[in-house]
Amino acid sequence: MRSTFADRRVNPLAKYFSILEGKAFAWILLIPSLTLVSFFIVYPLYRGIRLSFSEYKLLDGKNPEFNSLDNYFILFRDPDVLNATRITFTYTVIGLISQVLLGMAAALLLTKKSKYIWIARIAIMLPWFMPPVVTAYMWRFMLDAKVGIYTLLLSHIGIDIGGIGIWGDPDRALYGVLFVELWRSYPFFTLFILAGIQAIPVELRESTALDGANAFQHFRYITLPLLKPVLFVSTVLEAIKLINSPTLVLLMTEGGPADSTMVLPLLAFKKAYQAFDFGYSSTISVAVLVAISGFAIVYIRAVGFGREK
Amino acid sequence: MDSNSVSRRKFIGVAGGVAAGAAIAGPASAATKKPAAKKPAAKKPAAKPAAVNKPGSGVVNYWNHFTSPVERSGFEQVTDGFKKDFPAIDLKVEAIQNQDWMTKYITAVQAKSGPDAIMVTASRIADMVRIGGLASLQVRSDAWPTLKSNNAEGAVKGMQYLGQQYALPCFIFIDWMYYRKDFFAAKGIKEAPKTLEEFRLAAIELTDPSKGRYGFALRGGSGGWGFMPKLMTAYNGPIVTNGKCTLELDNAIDALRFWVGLVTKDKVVPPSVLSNGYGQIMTSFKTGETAMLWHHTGSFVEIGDALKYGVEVATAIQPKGPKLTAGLTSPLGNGIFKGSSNPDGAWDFITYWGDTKAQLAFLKATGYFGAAKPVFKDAAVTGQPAYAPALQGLQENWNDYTFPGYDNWMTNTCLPEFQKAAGGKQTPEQAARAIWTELREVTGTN
Repeated sequence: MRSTFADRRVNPLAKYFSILEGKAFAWILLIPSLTLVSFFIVYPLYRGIRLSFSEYKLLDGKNPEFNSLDNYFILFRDPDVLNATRITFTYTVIGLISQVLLGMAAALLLTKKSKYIWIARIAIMLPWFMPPVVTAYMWRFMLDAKVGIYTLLLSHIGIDIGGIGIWGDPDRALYGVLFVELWRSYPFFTLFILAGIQAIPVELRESTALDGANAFQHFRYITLPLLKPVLFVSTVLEAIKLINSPTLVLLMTEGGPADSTMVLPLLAFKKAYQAFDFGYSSTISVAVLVAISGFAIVYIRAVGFGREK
Repeated sequence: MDSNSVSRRKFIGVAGGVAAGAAIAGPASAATKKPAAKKPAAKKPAAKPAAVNKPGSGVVNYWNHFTSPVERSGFEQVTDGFKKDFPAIDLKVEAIQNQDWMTKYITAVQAKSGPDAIMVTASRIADMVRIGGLASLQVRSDAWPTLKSNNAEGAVKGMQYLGQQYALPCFIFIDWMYYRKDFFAAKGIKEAPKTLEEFRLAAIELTDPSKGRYGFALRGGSGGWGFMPKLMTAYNGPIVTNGKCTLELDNAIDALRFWVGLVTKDKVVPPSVLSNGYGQIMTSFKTGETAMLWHHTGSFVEIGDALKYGVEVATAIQPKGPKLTAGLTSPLGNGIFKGSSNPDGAWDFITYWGDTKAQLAFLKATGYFGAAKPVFKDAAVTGQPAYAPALQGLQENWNDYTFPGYDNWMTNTCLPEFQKAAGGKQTPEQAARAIWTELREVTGTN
């Protein structure tokens, strides 16, 4: 409420208090946040993008030199980038589909009423709590061609992943990493979907049961449509993570064998820290950033950030 | 300020830039504004030697990339001895994984907050100098005559870049071959192969997949990049001379045909070859899955813990190719980080390990040959017949290359191209051409 003339006459400080109620004060309050955001996000991002238009190789001993779109022209013709783009796309799409399906199955399992369901909840969520380094080395070892326990167990049921092994086969290594990514990340979907299912009123189930719908029909026509917003948001978030995070790939295969698991962020990392070409590495990073921004925009629109409720 | 140098403000800006991009777009780069590479001064500073190296004290931070238990155990011998001889120095050691080494090094250089002493390999020395984190030791080493009088010349030179000393050698990787003497005897093979062709034939003879046995533990996964320059040098002679590519494409093709052929035609290596790193090749050799192994003397103690020398296992010099042997000698040393707050303490440590006593202790614990000449004559070496091929290797192996971009060329061109060929994704000729082309690019050869 604005102070009145009478108030000001009574309280000489009132005119100062009135400042606290205007838009200007809101901006003043935002200054610390804006400063931090500018310092830690906007400015570095600007420098990173600018570097992507520069030639900057540490070994050359020169300062970054603006080279216009040269890096981008190279990017679009670079077979390493094209290969990495294809692999990143495969990794993201298969990763998402497999995680949604398994996450959904696990969430449906966890909705069952049982005295011991908490055990299943812990077991299902456990992989998500495990550090990626532990996950990577554990699975790398368990799926080893010679000494892997799963290699041995699978051989007993007629599935042979020994011999050349998963990690030594350019045609299978990516799927090995995808399997581990699935194991590690499906609880993320489980958590989202379980929350979504629990938010669906129980009365709906009773109504469809009265109408003669079986469990599948209830899932198909009631549960799934109501879960759409949850599935959408979680899928966008996981897509960003899959495109963005090369941790497992780096730890398990280092992009090999024969560059068969070389995802884009890992390629950018190698260009920077092994080839010391920071300009071109930034170009790759910016290209990935553009792709991720698309998902981020979709996400922001979906959750309605900034919109009045 | 040097025109090439960078202010901390600039670094934070650019590093933050890519870090922020990386936070969203991946770990791509913590790009930097500073091209710290400064070419070493052409002239040696004319300092008075006696006043240069003062006794150190206080804390010395040291980075190394030892990860195997045997290496760490050997390193403990060195640090224990150092603590006794230099009680005024508190040595703090940080072990960094090899694959993270350059990432951490670049960050330390740009942030101007690195260790005092740092491990340096011959294959990386040019990169490390040009990135700007190694202090020239020329003045100090001129005042330390032990370096030249006591050490193998090749080891001293391998720690130089453009004529300046940047590190003091502490041991040498001497490539050699282990072979299962009992398997050789069972097949009637009387001696270790001397040429690559003899090696191939022996590997074929020793291979019996029905028994799960293969002739050779080829390292086709992590760490396997180093074999490409070895093979190509064996077929070509030096592949880089005076900084320029001297590799002939035909010789590169022959080398790739040989190496890939072991996998695809002769099938003398375990099927999991493309994922076999250090751990896998060692295990396969020690368990009898493979009959021959190419490595260096640093695994001597580890192999000896599993197999009896002279009975089950023996050593030999690396086989020869048409031009040279397929083995190298490559020094490893220690330098002083530019901007170290305790260079005198760091110098004390690197000279301690640069001398005979520490090197002998390290040799006895690991098998790594010291760079100091008295080590070669010590009873620990002369009294062990299995070391004879290492002494021969010192004479016949070629010295490792030290050109800028060498490590990256091996890691990101040689290995993936070999793997593509061995995995049937391309021909050895295509792989050789890609490797040859990139080497010319890296060395700026027209």
